Amino acid sequence: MYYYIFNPAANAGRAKKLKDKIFKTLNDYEIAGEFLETLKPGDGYNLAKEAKENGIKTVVVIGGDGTVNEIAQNLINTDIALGIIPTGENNIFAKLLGIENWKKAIEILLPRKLKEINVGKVKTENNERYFCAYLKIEKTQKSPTIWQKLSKEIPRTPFELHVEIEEKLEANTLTDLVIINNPAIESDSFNIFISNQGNVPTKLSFKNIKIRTKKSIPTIIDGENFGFTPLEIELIPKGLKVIVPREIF
Amino acid sequence: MFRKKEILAGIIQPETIVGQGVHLEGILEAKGIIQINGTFTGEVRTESDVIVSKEGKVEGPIFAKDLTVGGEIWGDINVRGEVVVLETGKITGNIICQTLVVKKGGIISGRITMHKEEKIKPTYEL
Repeated sequence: MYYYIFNPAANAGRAKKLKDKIFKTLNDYEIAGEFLETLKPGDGYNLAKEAKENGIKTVVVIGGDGTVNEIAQNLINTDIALGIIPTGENNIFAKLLGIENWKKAIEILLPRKLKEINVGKVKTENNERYFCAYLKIEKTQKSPTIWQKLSKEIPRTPFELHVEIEEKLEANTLTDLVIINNPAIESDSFNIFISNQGNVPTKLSFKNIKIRTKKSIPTIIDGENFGFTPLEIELIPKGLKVIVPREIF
Repeated sequence: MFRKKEILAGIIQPETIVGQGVHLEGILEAKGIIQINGTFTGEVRTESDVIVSKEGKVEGPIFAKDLTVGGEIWGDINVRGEVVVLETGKITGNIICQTLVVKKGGIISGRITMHKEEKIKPTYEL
């Protein structure tokens, strides 16, 4: 039986309007199961924990990257499969998996093709969390103009970044950093992109990395704020079982 | 040569890139193409090609299949195939390779040893 966790607040509440359509389509495909809703941040984590304790085999997230991340925390290094019906704003993890929209996602759930994918574990001085799709360190301007906010082109402030990769490589630069975990590429490492004011970004691969900045910089993982630098990031090989499109994987 | 043009034109994406304005230090090891547009101090190793672009600077030895140099290298080069020094390229160090091409304006200061076959035993292990 599938255990659905629906976040009606995803995509600034727009996901709520899709609820009936999604529910009907799941019934049409005869894959309806237990249907639960989150009411506040943290509910997804607790519901996934309950699913694990109750021996559920498949948890399907109906939400965006943040909801997927919250729920995945309890599914990593377990036998529980994660399905995704993307209803968030960006749905980056679903896109990396080749899941284009919620309708396509339901078609993918039916054959239940599984793939074990790598995930990342990030540690700050007093916290740790897994990430599925990406980690981003960037410093945006404190007071962007209304136009910059509307156009989502908020200028970023360069900062001093020190990266130590597997104790054999060190990078120093003034810049932003993005780590992508692309499940479509068979790899035993992450891709790290260090951008630098419009130039071709630095691209490296790694399994373990330490990041320091002169001042603490906020970190975003899977679309949600998560602590500040310094960070330690570690690759967890094949840490998560995900339902994926048969034609891609 | 055609492959190198594709890499330089951005058609083939290198596996590893050191971007302009970035300074990297240590051992840079990869299986695929390494492109250096920034500055690097240490050892560069790959089973594939190394491209040091016009803006790139490397201080240390390079072990690769082929090497194209548009920037500057201070260090010994051990390449199984071809070394191409472009018009803006400068190498200060000894070179071991099968083929050497130096474009007008390219500079080499060092001893050059050329071997016959590409299938020589690599002097490093990945």
